[in-house]
Amino acid sequence: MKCPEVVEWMHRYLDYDLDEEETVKLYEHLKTCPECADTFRLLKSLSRDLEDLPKVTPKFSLVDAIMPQLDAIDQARHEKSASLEEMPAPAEMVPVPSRPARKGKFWNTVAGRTALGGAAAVVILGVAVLNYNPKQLSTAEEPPVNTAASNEASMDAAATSGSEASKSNVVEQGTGSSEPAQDSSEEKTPASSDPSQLSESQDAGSDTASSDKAAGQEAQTYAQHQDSSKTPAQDQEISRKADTGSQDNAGKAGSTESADNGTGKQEGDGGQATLSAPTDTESPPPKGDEVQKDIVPPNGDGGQAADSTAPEVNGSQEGDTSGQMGIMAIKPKEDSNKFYSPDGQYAASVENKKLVIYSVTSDGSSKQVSSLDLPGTWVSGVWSADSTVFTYQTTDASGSTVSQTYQVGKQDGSTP
Amino acid sequence: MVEQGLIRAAQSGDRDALITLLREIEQHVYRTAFYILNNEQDALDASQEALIRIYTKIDSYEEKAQFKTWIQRIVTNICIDKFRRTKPTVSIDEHELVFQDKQNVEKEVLSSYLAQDIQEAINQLPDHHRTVIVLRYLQDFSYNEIADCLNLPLNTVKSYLFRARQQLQNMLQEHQKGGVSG
Repeated sequence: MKCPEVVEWMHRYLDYDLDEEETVKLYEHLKTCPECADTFRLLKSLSRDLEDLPKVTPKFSLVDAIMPQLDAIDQARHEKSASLEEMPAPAEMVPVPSRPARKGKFWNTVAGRTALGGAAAVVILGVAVLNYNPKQLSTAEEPPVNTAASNEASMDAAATSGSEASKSNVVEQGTGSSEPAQDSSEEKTPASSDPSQLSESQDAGSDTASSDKAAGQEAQTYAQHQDSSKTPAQDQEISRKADTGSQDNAGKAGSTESADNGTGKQEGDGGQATLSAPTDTESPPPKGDEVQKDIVPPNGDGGQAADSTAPEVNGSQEGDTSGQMGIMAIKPKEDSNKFYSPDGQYAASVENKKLVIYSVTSDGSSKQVSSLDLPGTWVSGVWSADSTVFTYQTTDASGSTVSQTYQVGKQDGSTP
Repeated sequence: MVEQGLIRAAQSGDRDALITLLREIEQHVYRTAFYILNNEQDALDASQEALIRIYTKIDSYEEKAQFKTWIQRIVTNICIDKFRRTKPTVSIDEHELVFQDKQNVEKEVLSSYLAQDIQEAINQLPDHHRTVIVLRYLQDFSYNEIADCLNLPLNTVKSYLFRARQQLQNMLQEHQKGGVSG
C-alpha cells in the first residue's frame, strides 16, 4: 500500500467511507509510515475543526421575516387564480353592470322618446289645431259663399284678397249675399245671370262693349266696388268667374279709380241707399244679346254686403237681398230665366214661352210691365248697359237664331 | 429532518404545514448560505430568497429525492449563482484584509483562531469545493447526498471534497506556521 493511496483512504476514513478491514489496513500503514501518520493527524484535526464549525443560526426568524412576502405571494396567487377564474367572471361582471346601464339608458331613451314624441305630437296637434281653426273660421264663413251662386267668386275673392280686412268683408258679403241670392234666384228670374254666364264669349267683346255702352250700368257696378272699397279684387274675380264680360269690365273699372268717378251716380248708396236706388230703377229694354252684366250693377244693398254680389240681388227684388248676386250668378246660369237690368229697375223673365218684363220697385216687389210672345225657343237675353233695351235671342223651328230687342220706355208706351 | 407527512400536507396546499416546514429548515438553509457566502447579511438575504423559492416551488418537489438535498440544492444554487458571482475578487481581497487584521489581533490567543481561520479558508475555496465542504460538514451529507444535491457524479464529489480538504489543510498549515512564527 503506497502513501498516495493511503491519503485517499484517510479522506474516506474521515468521511466514514472505510469499512473495518480498510480501516485496519490504514492504521497498519500509518504505524509504519510516520509522514502519512503526520498527514493523517492534520487531516483529522482539520476535519474535526470543520465538524466543530459553529452551527450558526439567523438572528431572527427568517420565516417571520418573509411572511409579508409570502402573504403577498398568496395574494398574488389568489389574484392570479381569481383573475384566471375571474377572467370569465370579469367578462361577465362587466356586461352585467353595463347591461343595467344600458337598460337604464334604454329606459331613459324610451322615456325620453315617448316624452319627446308626446311633446312633438302635442306641438304638431297644437299647430295643426291653430292652423286648422283659422281655416275652419274662414271656411265657416266661406260655406255660405259656396252655397251662393258666387261660391267660386267669393271663395276666390276671399282667397285672393290679400288683406284680411278685405277677407272679412268678403266673408260678410258672401254670407250676406248668399242667402238673398238664393231667394232672389228662386223667387225671381230676371234674364240676367244665366245669359251672362252662358255667353261667356261675350266676355271679351261685351266687356268693352258693355262698359262703353251702359255707363250707368258700369256706374252701378262701380258703385258696388266703391262701396266695398276693399273688395274690388273680389268683385273682379267674382265677375270673372261669372264669366260675364260686363262684370269683368265692371270689376276692372271698379278696381281703377275711374270706377269711382263712374260710381259717382249710385255710390251715394252708402249701403242701403243703393238698395233703394237700384230697386227703383226699371229694367231697361234688352239691348245686346247679352244680359249678363246687368245683374251685377243693381247691387247697392247694405253698405257692406252690397259691395260684392249684393247689388245684383237688390236690383232683382229687395234692397235687403244684398249678396244674392253670388248665388244668382251660379244658379241662374243653370235654369233661371230671369234677367235684371243693370240698374235693377227692370227684370226680364221667360215664362211659358213668353218674355215677361217686370218693373222692380223699390220695395222689392215686381210688376209686370209687358209680355211678349217668343217666336221660338229661348236662347239668351241681355240688358243693355243703360237698362233701357233688353236684347234676346230665340231659335225658330228652322234652327236659325233670331235676335230681337225690347225697349223699356217704348214698350211701356206701346204695351197695353 | 422533515416528516414526509408535513411535506405532503404542505404540497397539498396546507399553508400552515408549509410554514411549519419552512421554520424547520430555515436554520439549515441559513447555515449553508452563511458558510458559502461568509457574510451574514448576504446569508440572510439568500436564505430568505431560498425559503421563498421553496414556498413557491414546494409543488415541484418529488419524493424520489431527499427533501434535505432538494432544499440544499436550491440554497446552494441561489448562493453560487446569484450572490457569489456578483462579488468575486473584491470580497476575497476584503476577506484577506480582514484575515490579516484578525490574525494580528489573535496572535497571542493560540487556539482561538481556528474557527475563523477555517471560515476564511473555506471562503477562499472554489465554489464547488466550498459547497462540497459545507454540505459535508455543515449539513452532514454523505457522498451520495452531496452528489444528488449538486447533481454531480459520486467520484467527482469525492474528488472535490478531498481536494477541498487538502487545500484547507494547506492554507491552515501555512497560516498556523505564519502565526506561530509571527
